[in-house]
Amino acid sequence: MNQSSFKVFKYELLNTVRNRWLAVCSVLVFFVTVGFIKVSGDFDKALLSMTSLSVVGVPLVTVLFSSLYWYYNDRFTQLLLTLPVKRQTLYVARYLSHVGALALCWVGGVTLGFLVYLHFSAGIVLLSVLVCVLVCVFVAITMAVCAKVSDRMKGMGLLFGLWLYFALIHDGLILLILFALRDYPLDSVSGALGVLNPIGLARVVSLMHYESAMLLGHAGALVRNLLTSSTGLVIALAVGLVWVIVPAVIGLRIFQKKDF
Amino acid sequence: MKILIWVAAWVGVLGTSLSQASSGGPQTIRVCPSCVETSIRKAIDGARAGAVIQVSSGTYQEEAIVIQKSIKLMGEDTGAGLPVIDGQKKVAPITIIKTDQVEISGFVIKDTGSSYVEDVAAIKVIDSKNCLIRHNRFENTTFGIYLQRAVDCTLDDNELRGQAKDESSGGNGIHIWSGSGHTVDNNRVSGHRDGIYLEFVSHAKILRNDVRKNLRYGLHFMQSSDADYFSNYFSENGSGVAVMYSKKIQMRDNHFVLSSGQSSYGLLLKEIHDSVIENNEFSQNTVAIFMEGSNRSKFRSNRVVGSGWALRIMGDCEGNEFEKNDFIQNAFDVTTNSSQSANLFKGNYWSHYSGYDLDRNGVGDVPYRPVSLSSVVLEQIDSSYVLLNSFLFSVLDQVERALPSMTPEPLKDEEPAMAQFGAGVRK
Repeated sequence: MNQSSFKVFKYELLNTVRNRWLAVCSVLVFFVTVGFIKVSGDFDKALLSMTSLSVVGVPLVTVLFSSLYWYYNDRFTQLLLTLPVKRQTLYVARYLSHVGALALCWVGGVTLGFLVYLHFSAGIVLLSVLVCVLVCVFVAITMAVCAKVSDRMKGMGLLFGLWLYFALIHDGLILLILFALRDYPLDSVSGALGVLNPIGLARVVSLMHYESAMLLGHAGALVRNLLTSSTGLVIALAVGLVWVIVPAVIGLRIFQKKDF
Repeated sequence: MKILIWVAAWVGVLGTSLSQASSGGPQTIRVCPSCVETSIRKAIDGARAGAVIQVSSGTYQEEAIVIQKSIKLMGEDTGAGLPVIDGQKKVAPITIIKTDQVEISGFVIKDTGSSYVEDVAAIKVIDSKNCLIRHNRFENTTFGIYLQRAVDCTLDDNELRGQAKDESSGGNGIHIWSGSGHTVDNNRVSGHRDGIYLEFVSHAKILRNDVRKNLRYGLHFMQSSDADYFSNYFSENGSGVAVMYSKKIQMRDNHFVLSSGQSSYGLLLKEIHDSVIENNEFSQNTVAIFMEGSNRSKFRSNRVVGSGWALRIMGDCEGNEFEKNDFIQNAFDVTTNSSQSANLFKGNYWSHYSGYDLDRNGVGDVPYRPVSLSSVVLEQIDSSYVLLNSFLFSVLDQVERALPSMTPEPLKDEEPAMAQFGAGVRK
């Protein structure tokens, strides 16, 4: 890495970490975690609530933060690109610093909340991994959309719509399909449809580690084995990786060819 | 001098009478590897009714022992552990036929034969009354204790460890077929097909047994009315506990734990009527209680925790009452396949209840509907499990609770408790 790329990296990272809203978000997550622990009086239950919240909340926060940052720094980005800085360097630097800062903000808030009660468990590690994957996926998606759509209202509207789609509408569509085709065996189809959505993927992975694992007794033996075995986890990770790489590469391509 | 003679004479008389008494008592035969009698079977052949046969430590590889007289067969640990009766994977070690008052205690019985044609048991009791089987250990037996048309037997403090490989070749730990008045107390059963099996048995008492890790059911009973099941522990059995076609059952202070799997139930009730299920603890089951065709039973003060489904009650169940139970952290509280419900839910604690109690009387002011929309959806479409815990399902559940359309309207708890009762097994 040469001198200027390093400077770009450093600048992006500092600029992201210094952001006040991230600190606010981290504190908020911390208090929500403590609140869940206080109200439920049960670490496992609090962790489950926190996981359910994170699966939907992390994408929303990621989308909002990342797009706001992009549009806010739009002019400065253009200025920076007049200098001999590779677009790829800037894009990757921004991506990595966003992922790092957001993941740290959320995971730090949750972990601190539990550490206050001197509690640590495997569930927290799982939650952290899920949060990191979700952040990776949604920063990639957000940056791709922002690179493509220059109008900030349009861009943010689109991103919010995407979040809504992944959080709610996609599941609704699955439900409709399952209802329409209820007479057919759809175990594997519904599984496949489920992982077409990064939020659904994270939820299904978390599902098998908590109380609802009992419910999987009801699912077909094949699906249950797949979900509870390490093969299932590897498949989930692979799908997660596809969800990171595809939007990141598309976003980078768009950004490299963008005519400001 | 006269007095001395008189006393001596009396002592003499007393002495003879005492010795007479002892020789007229039960005949005692000792069996041990170095004794005159080394075979239990021959000792029984030579014994009178009422005899006590004491067997010392050692391994006895006998042919099938058939008991047809009232004797007591007592194993004694004379330093090298309990005497072992070894079936050598060939024979059915002990059979009691048409003989009352037989006692067998203190043995290790191992390696019975196995057969697909007949039920080979370590101890089989046929057409007999008042048998007493206690303090024995059964290792690698196909069937452990098998009572056939027996009456008033007591099975106490036995340990049965089977090594059943599959349901078709395995046998049951304690198998009771036709009979009445048995007491099965404090036995430990594992590794069989069914732990305890009863069919056509009335007035049985099943107490304090520890039944775990059996291939099929921990407890399996059919057509066995008026039975009491108290303080048993059922855990990790393939399909949990199944009770069918019986009336007037009492189940109290039992644990039903860790039955997880597709067709696995903490407690499956099929056509069970007029029964009482009280102070039991159900935890970590896929389905804690499953009811089909069961009427007029009372469920009180049970604790149901950490299940996938706490209660699945089919539409053909009527007149059952659920009172003062604690339903804690079950993914789904109640599901049913009917839009109607003729069962009463009253004053239970539900951890999912989110109502309020403005008058502070400990009873929630709005009714609780334990059937959630997502459970109805899941009931109808198995594969919708991918949507569990989803934002969509929680939104739908909230809407449905406010305005029931798909869930059975009458199935609700009008007086949900605000705090747990601390129900479950009484300490």
